[in-house]
Order: sequence, then structure tokens, then C-alpha cells
Amino acid sequence: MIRMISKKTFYWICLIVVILEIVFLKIMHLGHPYFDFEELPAFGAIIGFLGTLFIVVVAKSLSLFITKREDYYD
Amino acid sequence: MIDFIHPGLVLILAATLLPVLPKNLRGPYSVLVATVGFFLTLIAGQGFYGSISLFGIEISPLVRVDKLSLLFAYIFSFIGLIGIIYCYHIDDWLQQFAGLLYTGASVGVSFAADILSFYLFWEMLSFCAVLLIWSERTKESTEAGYRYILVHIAGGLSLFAGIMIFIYQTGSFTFDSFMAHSGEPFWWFILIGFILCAAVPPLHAWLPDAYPAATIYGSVFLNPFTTKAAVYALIRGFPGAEVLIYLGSVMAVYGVIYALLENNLRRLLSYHIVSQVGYMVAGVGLGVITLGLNGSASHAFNHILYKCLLFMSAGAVIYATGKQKMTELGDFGRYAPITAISFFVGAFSIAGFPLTNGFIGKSPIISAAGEIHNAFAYIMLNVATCGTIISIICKMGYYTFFSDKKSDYPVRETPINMKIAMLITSALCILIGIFPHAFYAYLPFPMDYEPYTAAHILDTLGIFSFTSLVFILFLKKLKPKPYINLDMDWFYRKGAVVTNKTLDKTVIPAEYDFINNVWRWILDSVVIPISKRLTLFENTKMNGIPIFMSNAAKATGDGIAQFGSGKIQDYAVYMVIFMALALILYIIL
Repeated sequence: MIRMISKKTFYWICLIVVILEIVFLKIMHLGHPYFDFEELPAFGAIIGFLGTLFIVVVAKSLSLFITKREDYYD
Repeated sequence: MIDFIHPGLVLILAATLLPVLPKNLRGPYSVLVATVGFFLTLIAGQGFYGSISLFGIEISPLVRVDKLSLLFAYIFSFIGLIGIIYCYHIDDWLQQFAGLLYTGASVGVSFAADILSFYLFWEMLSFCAVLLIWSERTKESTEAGYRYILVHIAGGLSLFAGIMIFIYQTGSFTFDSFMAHSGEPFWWFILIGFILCAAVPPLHAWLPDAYPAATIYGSVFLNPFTTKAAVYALIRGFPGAEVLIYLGSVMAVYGVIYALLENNLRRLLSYHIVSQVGYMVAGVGLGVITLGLNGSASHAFNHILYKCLLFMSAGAVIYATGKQKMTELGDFGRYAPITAISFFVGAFSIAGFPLTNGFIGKSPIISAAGEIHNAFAYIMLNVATCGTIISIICKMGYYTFFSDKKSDYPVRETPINMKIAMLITSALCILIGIFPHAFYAYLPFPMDYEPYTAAHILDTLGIFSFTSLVFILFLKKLKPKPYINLDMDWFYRKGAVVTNKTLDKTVIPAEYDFINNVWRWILDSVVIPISKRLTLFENTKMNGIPIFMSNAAKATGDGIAQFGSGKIQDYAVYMVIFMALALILYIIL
């Protein structure tokens, strides 16, 4: 999947999504947000980025304690 | 005219015939039975049926068919059929038997109106699951099966205790919402029984422990039934229980964090079950508005479809290569395009990409969190979506089907029936995603909800693109590694070893060194001397008594014998003497 589209095209996709979010949601006001923090420009992109970062960081730091060799239980 | 035939009972009874059939008929027969079961569920009319008189107590009704139970019964019987098609080619009646039984028991759970028959079907689920785990017939699966059954016995006992207190306290046998008794002991007992089967942390470790140990066909049957039956039970019994919002939100993130670290294909998918069921559990908690309950039901329905699809394609990978670790796979897409396409349909569905059933399935839950302004649930569920994308599409998809070939694995052709099962399910995943309103009509509560809004689609696209961006940035860091990750099962797996060692060091020395020595001392110095004395006493004194008595008896007998001369006149004289004596006594007295 990642080999099919080069990294550069992918960055362009990300940029287009951000622009679309800002145009449709912030300028044209097509959404009806439930919370104040959803008013941030390109909320989807922000939570996608920060949420994934959170998951990766927590998983990686957790693995320092819980990752063991495969014969651990034998 | 019979107005209702219970599809669950039909499946269970018909399954018992399977072992006696000739080998080549078992496949077609089980497909036929599963089809009949699905058909009977489709024609089941809403209403209440059946009654039974037990120990003078009338339990009625036994069967409840309403929109909620029908929705779950449809998907249970349908996925049973798909699973049976998937394992059509195998020569192992035990798995087909357990699959049919499992399907029947789940349909029974969803149709049960009284709590006792509900409990019977519920316990049958664990029994079928353990058969499917043991069918793998390795040391690992045997051990995992034992752990599975022990954990489920504990959960079942908690549920049983709750049910007994419930019946004793209320006198009612009906299985309906327990929320009127919120916070009472039996409410907690029943809730613990349910959330153990829904794999809510910290009671979830049985799931990623047991499901990867089953056969590849077994895990297709395992994943839809037990946890989703528990979701059904939660929707029915605990709508709007606030504790479930927080348990579910944490669970959704917990599952994806572990999934991201996993190397084993099916264990990664198992952690995704934990995560996805987290959405449903949170949805039940958000069920103070019917949107939450509808969301749980629709997510459970769609989850079963795409999760089975993922397990089927993972099973196809394992069937073809014999490998189940990402560190030994890679570049598999070029050998099996149908498996790869099915996998990515399932992966995009589970992540909730627009135009798949995952998108329309879980949107109502997240919207419900927004509607009642629970920011914690709203953010956690969105973060869990990011985790789902990165661990299943990016990590599992990339390192299994693309990337470099990491070991020289053999490739076997996948049987046609496995491909058919995968393609039917893929088609359904996309069809439901394109026509959400046709599906929403079957949800338990009336709902006016539009998943395809501009905001929703754009937010989802934003989450997808930026999650993939993070994956590209961390590509090297997220490479699968050949390790395992400890989870809550550590406590009982290591705990059992520690208990045994502690027993070796405490109870066994105490037994051999202390209790045995004391006992020997007591025997040597007390019991044996006393018994020796007693023997002596018996020999010298006590034995004298019977000898004396027998001597005395002999002497008396000899004396009496002198009178018995045998002559009639002697006896006549004795009689006259005795009569005279009696007469004299009579006169004197």
C-alpha cells in the first residue's frame, strides 16, 4: 500500500484533507460540533495525529516492561 | 400449525447427528443444517412463546422474539453458516459439530426470555468454545483450553450466584433490564458474569490467550459468539449503566495498544476484539439515549461480519503458509490476491472507513457520546480508531501482505469454499456500508440518524491520513519483533507456578518433616506401647473369662445330664415333684 503511492503523494493527500476540512467545516460551517475542542481547525487531522502518537508512545513505553521472550511461560 | 420453531434447538439437535454420519456427508449435512437454522431465524415472527412448569413454578414465556433479539439471532445464525462453509473441506467432525452447537447456543441466548434457559444456553457457549480450542490438539491449545474453561467457570459462578439472588429477592424469572436494582449485590454479580464474557479488562486475558490457540476454523467460530452474546446480554440487562461508559472507553484503547505490540496474527486480531467490544460496552453505558443502544447493536452486527472476515483471511494465510507470525511472513499479497482483498476490506471496515459497514456501525456510538456530552468517551473512542488504523491496516496489512518476504515459507492453494465464505462476507461489508438506512431499519429502536455528513466523513478522512502519516514516520520503530507481551493472564499463569512452588516449600516440608515425624513419635512412644500392654492383658486376664465360662457351662451341663436318663417313669417322678413344690409354694404364699 505504502509502496504503491510514494511518500510525497501521501504528504499531498494529507495536505488536501486538511484544506478540505478547513474549507467545509470552518468556513462553510457544515458540521455541528458537540464540544468546544471540535471547533479547532482540522480537528480530524489533529486527533488523528495526536491520538496515534499517544498510542505509539504508550505502547512503546509499556513494551519496556511487558515484552518478553517467546519461551517466557515454558 | 406451529407458530414458532426455535432455530437454536434445531441447530443443537441436528448437530448431534453429525458424528454418526459417513465421512463424505458431514460437510454437506452441516451446511444444510446451518442453512435451515438461518432460514428459520429469518421467518421467526415477533412475540412470546412457550412455557414450562418446574417444581410447581410456572415459568412463562420461555422465548422472546423482539427486534433486539432478532438482530442478534440473524447475525449469529448467518455467521454460523459462513463459518460452516469456511470449514466445509475439513475432515474433523468435532469442529463442525462444535460450530453448529455454538451457533445454536448463541441463537438460544438471544431468544431466551427467562433467566434460567438463558443461563443454560450461556454455559453451553463456553463448552463449545473449549471443544474448538482443544481441536487444535497441541500441548499449547490444551493448556489454553483449560485456562479458558477455568476462567469461564469463575464467571459463570458469579452469574449463577447473581441469578439465584435475583430470583430469591424478586421472585421473577424474566430476563429484562436490571437497572431498577442498580448497585445491589446481585446486580454486581450478574454484571461481572457478563463483562467477563465481554472481555472487559482486567477480566479479558482469556480472549487473546485462547483464540490464537484454536484451529483456524475454530477462531472463526470463536470470535463472533461469546463476546457478542455478552454484548446482547448487556444491552438487555444493563442499558445506561454509567460504569460501562468508562470501562468500555478504556477497553477500546487498551486493546489497540496491545494489538500494536503483537506479532502473532490472530493474537493481534484478538486484541482488536477487546478494543471493538469496548465501543459496544461504552455504547451500552451511553444507552440512556436509545442512540447508544442502537449503536451497540449495529456495531455488534457489523463487527461480527468484518471480524470474521479478518479471522478468515488470517486463517487463509496460516492455512497457505503454516506461519502465523508477522516476523516470518511478508509479501503474501502476490500469492493470494483474494485473501489480500478480503483482508483489506475487513481492515478498512474495522477502522471505519466511509462506505464500509464499520463506518456506519460505530458512528452512532460516537455520536451518542457527543449527544450526552461525555468528552472522555468521545476522545477515547476516537483515539481507539487511530489505534485500529495503525495496528491493523498499517502494521498487519503492510508487514503481512506487502513489505519484504521475511522467511522462505511454502504457499498452498486455498480451498474454494474458504474463498467463497470470504467473498460473501466482503460483499456484505461493503453493501451495508453503501446502504446504511436499509440496515438501520432492523435496529431495535427507531432512529433518525445520518452517518454520511460532511463533518463526519472529513473528520474520518483526517484521522485516516494523519494516522498513516505517523505510521510512515515510525515505520522502523513499529517493525514486528519476535516477542510476546505479558497481560493480565500473567497473574494466574505465573500465579499457578508460584503457588505450586510455595506448596513445595511450605506444605510438603511441613508434611514430610514435621507432621510425619510427630506422627511417628506418637506411634512409637504412645500407641505401640499401649497396644502391647493391651495384648498382654488380653492374653493373661481377658482370655481367662471365656475359658472359665465354658468350663462352668460344661460342668452344669454334665450335672443336668444326669437327670436325663431317658426313662419315662423318671420324668413322671420329676413332674410330680415339681408340681408338689409349686403347690407348696402356692399355699405358703
